[in-house]
Amino acid sequence: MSAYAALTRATYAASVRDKTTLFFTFAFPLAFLVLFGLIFQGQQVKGGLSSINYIAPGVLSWGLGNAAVFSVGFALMQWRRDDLLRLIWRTPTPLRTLLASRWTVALAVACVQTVLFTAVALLPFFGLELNGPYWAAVPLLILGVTAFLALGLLVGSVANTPEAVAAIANILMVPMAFLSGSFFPDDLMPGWLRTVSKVLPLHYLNDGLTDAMGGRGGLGDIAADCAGLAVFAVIFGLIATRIFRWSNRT
Amino acid sequence: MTTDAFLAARPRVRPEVLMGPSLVRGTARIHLLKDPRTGHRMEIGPKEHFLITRLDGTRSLEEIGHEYAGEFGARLGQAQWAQMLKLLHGRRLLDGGPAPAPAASAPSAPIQRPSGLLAGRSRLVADAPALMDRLHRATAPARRPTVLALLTALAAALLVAVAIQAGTLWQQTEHTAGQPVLLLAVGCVLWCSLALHELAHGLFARAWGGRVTEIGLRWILGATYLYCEIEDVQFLGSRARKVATACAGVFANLLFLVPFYLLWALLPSGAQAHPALGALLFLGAVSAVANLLPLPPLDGYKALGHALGITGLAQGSRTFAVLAVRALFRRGPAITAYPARLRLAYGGFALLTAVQSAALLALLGAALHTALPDDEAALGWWLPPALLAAVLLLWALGARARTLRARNAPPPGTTPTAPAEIPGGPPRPTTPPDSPAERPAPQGADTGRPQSGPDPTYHRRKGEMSGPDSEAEAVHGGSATETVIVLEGLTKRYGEVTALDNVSLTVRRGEFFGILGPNGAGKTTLVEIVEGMREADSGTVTLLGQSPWPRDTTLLARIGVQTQASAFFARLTAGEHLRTVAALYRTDPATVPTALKRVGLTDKENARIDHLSGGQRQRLAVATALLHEPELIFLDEPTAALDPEARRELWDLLRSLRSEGRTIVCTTHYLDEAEALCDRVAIIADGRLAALDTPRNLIRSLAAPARLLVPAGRISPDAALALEGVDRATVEGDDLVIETTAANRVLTRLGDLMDIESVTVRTATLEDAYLSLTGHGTEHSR
Repeated sequence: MSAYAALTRATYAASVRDKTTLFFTFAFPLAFLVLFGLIFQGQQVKGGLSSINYIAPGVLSWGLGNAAVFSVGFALMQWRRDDLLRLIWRTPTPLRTLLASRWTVALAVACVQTVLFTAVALLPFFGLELNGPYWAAVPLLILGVTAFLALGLLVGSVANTPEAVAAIANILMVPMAFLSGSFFPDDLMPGWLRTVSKVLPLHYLNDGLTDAMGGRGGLGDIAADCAGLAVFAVIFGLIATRIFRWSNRT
Repeated sequence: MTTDAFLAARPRVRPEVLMGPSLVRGTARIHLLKDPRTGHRMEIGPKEHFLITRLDGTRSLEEIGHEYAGEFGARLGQAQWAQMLKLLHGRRLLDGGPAPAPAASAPSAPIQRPSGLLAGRSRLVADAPALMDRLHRATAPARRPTVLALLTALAAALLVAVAIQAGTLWQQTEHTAGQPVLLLAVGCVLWCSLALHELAHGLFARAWGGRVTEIGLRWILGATYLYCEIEDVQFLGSRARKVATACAGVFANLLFLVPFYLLWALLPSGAQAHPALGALLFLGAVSAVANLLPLPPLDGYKALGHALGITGLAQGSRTFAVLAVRALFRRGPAITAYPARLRLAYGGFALLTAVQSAALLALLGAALHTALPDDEAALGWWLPPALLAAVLLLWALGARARTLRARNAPPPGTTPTAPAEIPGGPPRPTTPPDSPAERPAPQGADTGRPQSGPDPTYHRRKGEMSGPDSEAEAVHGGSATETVIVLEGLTKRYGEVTALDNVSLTVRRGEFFGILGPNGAGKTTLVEIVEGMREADSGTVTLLGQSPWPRDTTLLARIGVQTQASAFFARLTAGEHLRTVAALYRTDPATVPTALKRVGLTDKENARIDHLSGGQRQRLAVATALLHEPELIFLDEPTAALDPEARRELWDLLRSLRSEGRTIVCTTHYLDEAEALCDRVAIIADGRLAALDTPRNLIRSLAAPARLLVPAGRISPDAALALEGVDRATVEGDDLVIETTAANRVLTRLGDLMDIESVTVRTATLEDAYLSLTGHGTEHSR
C-alpha cells in the first residue's frame, strides 16, 4: 500500500468514526436548509427565481466551506499537538502526500454532502429545480474545497488548542456566511454590501453554485467565480506554507 | 518571652503590600488588601486596617495598642496581639516571615463551568497582559490630556448630533428593520463595536496599573461576545479613575460611531447605504447610552458603585429595602444600623431601580403594542411584566435550589477573601485560608521521592545492576568500539538561553545509553539535533557515520524514535495505526504482526487506541518506533506516567531490544530506570555534560556514606552517635537515620542492641550521584 493510500484510508476511517463531526458535516446544513427554507418559503426574489434557488446553493456552499475548514484545522492542530507530524517528518513520506490524502478525503466528503443536500432540496417540499448548467458545480466544488482546505491549514497552523480552532474558524466562517449571502438571497443585499463580500472566498463559491444550480447566470459568470476561488486557494496556500510548523516547540 | 519584651517588639507588614480603597458593603466598612507577590486579595475590617497600617516597624506593639485604645475604646492584650500577628504571619504579610511563593497562575481564579454548546467561553489571546501592554504603548498618543479632551468632545458632539436628528434616524431605523439583511449587517458592525468596548475597559484599567488577565469569547444561547477580564479594578486608585474605567466602554462605542456619522452626513440622502448607516447610528448611540443606566450588570451600575464607594450596591440595596419594608410594618429590627448617608444611597438606588424597571417595562409594552397585530395588541401590555415575573420566579427557585445544595454538600476549602474581622473588642482567631498555593513546597530528600518505598533501588540493584554490564561485554564485546553517535562541541542557543553548551559524547553500537537531567536541561534539544530536526549553532554531529542535518530520509529510515505517549493516528485501531506508519516508512505491512507480538499486543490489534491503557499505549509507541527495523532507537521518557507494573513490563521489553544488538538512547528523569537499564549514563545539567560514566562508577565516585535506617525509638540519636564509626544520626520521619562510612562495623554493633532484621541499609544510589552533579543538593527535581 502506498503512503498516499494508507494516509487516505487512515483519514477516512478517522472521519467515519467521528460521530460529532459527521453530524455537523451532513445533518447540520440540512437543518439550516429546513430553517431558512421555511423562513423564505414561496417567496420570489426580484430576479424572478424562487428563493429556494438561492437558499439551497447558499447553505450548501457554507456547509462545504465549514466542513473543509473545521476538519483540516482540527486535524492539523491535533497532529502537531500529538507529535504525529514529527513522526511523519521522520519518514520518507513528503508533506505533499499528507496534504493530497487530506484533499482527497475532503473532496469525497464534499461530493457526498452535495449529492445528499441536493437530493433533499429537490424534494417537492423545498421545490428546488435544477435549471442551470449543474455539471459546472464540479469545478466549483474542487476549487472551493481547495480554497477552504488551505484556509483550514491556516487556522490549524495558528491555533494550538481545539478551543482556539473552533473560535478562530467560527469567527472567520459565521460573518463570512452572512456577508456572502449563504443564509438569504444575496440579491436582496444592498449593492455596497455585495461589493464588500467580493473579498470573501465564500462569496464566489455561493455565487457560482447559485448560477450553476439555481440557473441564475451563465457559464461566463461561473468561470469568473472559479477564477476567484483559485486566487483565494493560491493566496491561502502560500500563507499556509509560510506559517506551517512541524512542532509546537520553538 | 515576657509580656514587656513582646509588647516592645516592632513587627512590620511587608511594605509592598498594597492597601486598596475603603469601601462600604452592607453597613460595614471594609478595606481591601493585596499582596502583589502572590496576587492574593483579602478584605479586612476597619480595626485590622487600623492596626496593619500602623505596623510599619517604627512603632512598638504597645504604642499601637495605646492608639487603638484611644480610637476603639478597647485594650489589646498579648493574647489578642498574638492572634493578630499569627493571622498576618499565616497570610505571609509580615516582613521577615517565610517568603510567599509567587503564584504562577491567577490565585483566585473562579471555578469555571465547562463550556458547552449553549453557553461557554474560550480564551482567544494566549498572553492577554502582553497584548494589552502592546496596545497600551500604541495608544500612548491618545492618552495626552489634549487628545483625550478632544475625543471626549467628539463623543459628546456625536451624542448631541444623534439627539438632534433622532427623528430622521428613527425613521431610517424603522425602514431598515423591514430588511433583515441590512439589519444583520448593522448587527455585525455593532458586534465589533462591542468588542472595542471591552478593549477600552481594559486599556483604561491598564493605564492606571490594572491588569487584564484574559481576553476571549463567550457565548450563551447562540449569542457571542468578546470579553476582557480585568483584575483589581478596585486597586486603580481614586474613585474618578474607577468611574472612568467603567465608562470607558461607552466612550469607545460613541467614538466608534463618529466615522459612520461623518459618512452618513456626507452621503446624499438617496444613497442605498444611508438608511443602514442611520440605523447603525441610532442603535449604536441608544445602546451606548442605555449601557449607562444604573442597573446591574450594566456599566452605569458599576460606575455608580465606584462613585459612591459602595461594593455590592444592588445586594445592599435589596437587603435595605426588605428591612425598611419590614420596619414599616414593625415586623423586624429598625434600620437604625444604617447611617443617613447609606439610607439615602440604598433607598435611592432601590427607588431608582424600581422606576427604571417600570419605565423599561412600559416602553417594551408600548413597543409590543404597536408591533403586534391589532387583535392581539392587548397582549403587549401584560406580556413584559409576565415575562419579568416568570424570570424572577425562576431565579428565586434557582437560588433556593443552590442554597439547598450548598447546605447538603459543604464546599471544600475556604474562599481566598475570607474577611478577617474584629467584631467587638479583641480580635478573634481566623483560620487562614489553606489553599495549596499557600502551603510551603515540600522540601528535603525524603518527602519528594518520586517512588513510593524508601529504597526500591537498593534491593533491585543487587541482582540487576550486574546483569546488563556483564551481558554487554558478552554479547557486544566484538563491536563495542564501533560508534553510532559522535557529538563534538555541540552548542545550541535559543535567544538568550543556552540549551546546550559544548557537549561532546560518543555512543557505541549495542549500547543502552541514558541521558539524564532535570526538565529543561537540554535533553530534548540534544535528541532533536541528533535526529536532524534542528541545526546546532556550533559543533559537529555524526549519526551512523553521516551528518543528520539537513533532513536525510535515508538516514532517518535507519533510526526509530519513540516520542512521548500520544503520537497516534486518531480513532484508529492499533493494527491500523501500525499499518499506516509502515506505509509511511514504505516497509512491508507484514512487519506489523511481528512488531505487535514483540511488544505483547497481538490481541489488541483490532482494539481502538483510545481504549488502550497507558502501558499498552507506551508499548504501542515502542512498536511504532520498531516497525522499520531501525539500528538505533531513541526513547523519550518511555515510562513517564506508568504504574509500577507497566514500567517493569516495559523495562523487560527494552532489555530484550538491547539484547537483539540494537543501540538504544533513552532520555529519562527516573533515576532508578537509568540505574536498572543503562550501560552508560550522561547527566546533562544546564546544557552542560555534567558527567558520563556507567551508573556504578558514578555512584562509586561519589564515595557517599551509607545510610542505615533504624525504626525510631529503638535507639536514641545520642546513643547511636556514641557508637564507633557513626558520623551522623538524625530522626527523619519514622526512622532514625545513621550515616556511616563503616557500615559493617556499625551494623555489628547495632546487632548487639536490637534485632538486625529491622535495620535497612541504603547505600548511595544513582540518585545521590545525580543530585550532587546537577547541583540540586538534597532537593529533588522531578
